Amino acid sequence: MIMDSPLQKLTSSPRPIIACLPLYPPLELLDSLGLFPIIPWNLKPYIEKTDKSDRHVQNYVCSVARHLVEYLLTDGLDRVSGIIAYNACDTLRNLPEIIQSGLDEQNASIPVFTYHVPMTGAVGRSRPEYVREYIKNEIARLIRELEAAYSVSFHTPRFLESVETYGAVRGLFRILSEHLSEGRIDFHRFVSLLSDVSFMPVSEQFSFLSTAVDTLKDAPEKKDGAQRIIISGILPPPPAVLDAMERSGLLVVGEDLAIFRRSYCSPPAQATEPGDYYARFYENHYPCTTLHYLADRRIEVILNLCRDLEADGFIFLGEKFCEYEYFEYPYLEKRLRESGIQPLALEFSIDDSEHIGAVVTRIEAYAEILKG
Amino acid sequence: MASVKRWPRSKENLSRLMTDYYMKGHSDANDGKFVVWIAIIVPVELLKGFEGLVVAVPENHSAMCAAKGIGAAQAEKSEREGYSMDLCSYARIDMGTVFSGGEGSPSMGLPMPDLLISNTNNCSHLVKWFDVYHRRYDIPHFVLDVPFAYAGQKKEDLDYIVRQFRELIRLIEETSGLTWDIDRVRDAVRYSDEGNNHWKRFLNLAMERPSPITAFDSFLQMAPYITAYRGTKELADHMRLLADEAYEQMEAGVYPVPEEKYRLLWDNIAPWHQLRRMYQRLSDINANLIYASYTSCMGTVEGEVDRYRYESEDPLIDLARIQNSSVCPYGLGLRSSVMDEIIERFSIDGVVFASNRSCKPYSLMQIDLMRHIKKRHDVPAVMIDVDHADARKYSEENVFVKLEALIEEIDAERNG
Repeated sequence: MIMDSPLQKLTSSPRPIIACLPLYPPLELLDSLGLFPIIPWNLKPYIEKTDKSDRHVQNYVCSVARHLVEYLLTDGLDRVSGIIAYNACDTLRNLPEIIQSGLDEQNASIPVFTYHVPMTGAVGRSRPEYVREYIKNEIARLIRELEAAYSVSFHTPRFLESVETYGAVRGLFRILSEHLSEGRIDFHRFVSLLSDVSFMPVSEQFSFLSTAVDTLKDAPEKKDGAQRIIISGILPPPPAVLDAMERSGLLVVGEDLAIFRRSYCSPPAQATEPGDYYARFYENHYPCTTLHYLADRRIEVILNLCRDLEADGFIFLGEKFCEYEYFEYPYLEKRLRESGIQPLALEFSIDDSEHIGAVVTRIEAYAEILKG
Repeated sequence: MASVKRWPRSKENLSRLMTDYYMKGHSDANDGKFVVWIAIIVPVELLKGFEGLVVAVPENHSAMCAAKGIGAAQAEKSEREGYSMDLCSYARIDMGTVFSGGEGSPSMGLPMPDLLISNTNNCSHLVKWFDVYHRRYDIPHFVLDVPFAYAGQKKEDLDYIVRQFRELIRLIEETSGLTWDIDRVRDAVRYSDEGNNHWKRFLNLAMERPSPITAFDSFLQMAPYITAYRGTKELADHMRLLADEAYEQMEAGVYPVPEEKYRLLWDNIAPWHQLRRMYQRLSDINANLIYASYTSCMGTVEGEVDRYRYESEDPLIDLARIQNSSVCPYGLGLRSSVMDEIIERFSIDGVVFASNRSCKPYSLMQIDLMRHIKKRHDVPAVMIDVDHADARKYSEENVFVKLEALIEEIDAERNG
């Protein structure tokens, strides 16, 4: 059952809605083709059960995948006109056919488009030109398929316009991030604002965030001796966990969440056509555990973030069963400790919103350690 | 169970090959040779182009540890360093072995690498796993990236893989000082082709009734294929010996399950810590696990059961072509058609889907695959919970309740 959520506002879209499987799809391209891209993740607050998804997806798959399959096989059936996916992770690359299998059971059909993002290379070294050529060809193929499927045409000026609009949205996000680090907005509100934005057309995202930024610019900075924390993971923690952090005197001043910073804080890619744009987009993306060729850079970026925001602590939100995050965490933890940052690892699974007593206790103990 | 010793020559040769592989790897490394660790589908044949290069395969080592009953102990060492129990058990075993300097391993672990080569075809966990060593020990790490095949490998993907091969060759030349010789690679590809031919001869024996082989036999005998032996005359000769000896024994009336009543197919990685026990309990009820998707894929391409013939003028093209062969890098549609073929060709009575906690890529689409099989073939199927290398995540009784239920369902189908 899909509970009251921003997803329900999608019914009246004049544009075909394209559900993009996480993490970092070509939003600008889809928007420029007259399509309405959404990324259906962070659905935990809105989806109570995963009955339909459980008929197709093993229970040791992460909540992101289980919830988005549930959405696409229920509410999404009447709203979504296409699905786009890339090799974001081992689970997500398998989902297109699993989703189609679920749709077949309901005699439904949603076209699925896939493309491959190159992950090759010697870690830490620059990538050769053929890698860029490969992604350019993938994007060109994707454009042809989308044009044929939706009877639309690609136009470079519209694409560049979309690039500019999404760039502006990302800029507003970065301003909101600064407000977060200055204490002008608390993390609860930050999450709520950005979660609402996820399912709006980009023009509405821009208006919405502009208003939010304007409202906050005169909000007072908050520097009251709270312990300054960075949180990291795929998704934000359940609201009850955020409450526990706040009660314990922990102030979230920054985040390294895939759904937020890693999605919004990449440096702007300069290009005059989509192939080149996305080659640079992925190559220079904000580091994520899923982008293997950026793995080395990620550690340094996180340490710099902690230093720049004068963080006292770092909380890792492990979403079961995201192995990409779990593989990297022990080394990251070591480097954080060497830098004088106290880390804490918490773990959440699909139904943990209801069972967070132990997590709250750990947060309270952690806060005491930081104060001491 | 057969009272005659099965395949004594092949087993002795296998034991010798594997002992030599591990020991030679260490001694060559001690002599200063350049050591490369690879994921299993990284083409060993390509690396044979470098004379004197030492190739080691951590996955094979982890499987060996699990088979010898020490997987959990090795895994615990990495878990104590903060690596989650939810991570692939191969990775945990290998990391535990490396972190303890080879302690506890039957082969003293593997010689430490000078270069790591992972591959995204089976999974990206391999990339993250090798990254652990890259960072901890400052070892260069090359990621060979293979696009997933939903409907067969595309030409542009094959070209992309070949280009990566060329980049990898340059990297090895730069870092090792060795020179790559394509003629050595051609020889290696020829030996692999020959070895694959005999491997398929061996596996096709399972079409006989009763089958003179079990999937457990194939799990054991695949070992040298996923080591530095791939692309060598030794492996080709071993596969020929294996196929010939298996034929001889069949003709002499030696069968692993002489009163075979139930012919089962296994889908997933081998349950390394349970090979003998599972075989015994199944044969006690005249059930023979005759075939496995895990070992069938060796020597093929995606979506195929028959062997792929290495016929290109450029050996790199053949080596790129097989990069999607190992089940995990291809999708549900292709896996369904492979399973359809296997069920028909090998007269399968029931399918065992081993839902493997440590291998999501292999397991993720099994629910739909099982549904497809039941609908298309009217063949009973069951899903059991396993972990291929961590015995702590395996319950023999829970598994056998389900396997026995499968047998009952087969009987019920037969009796109408």
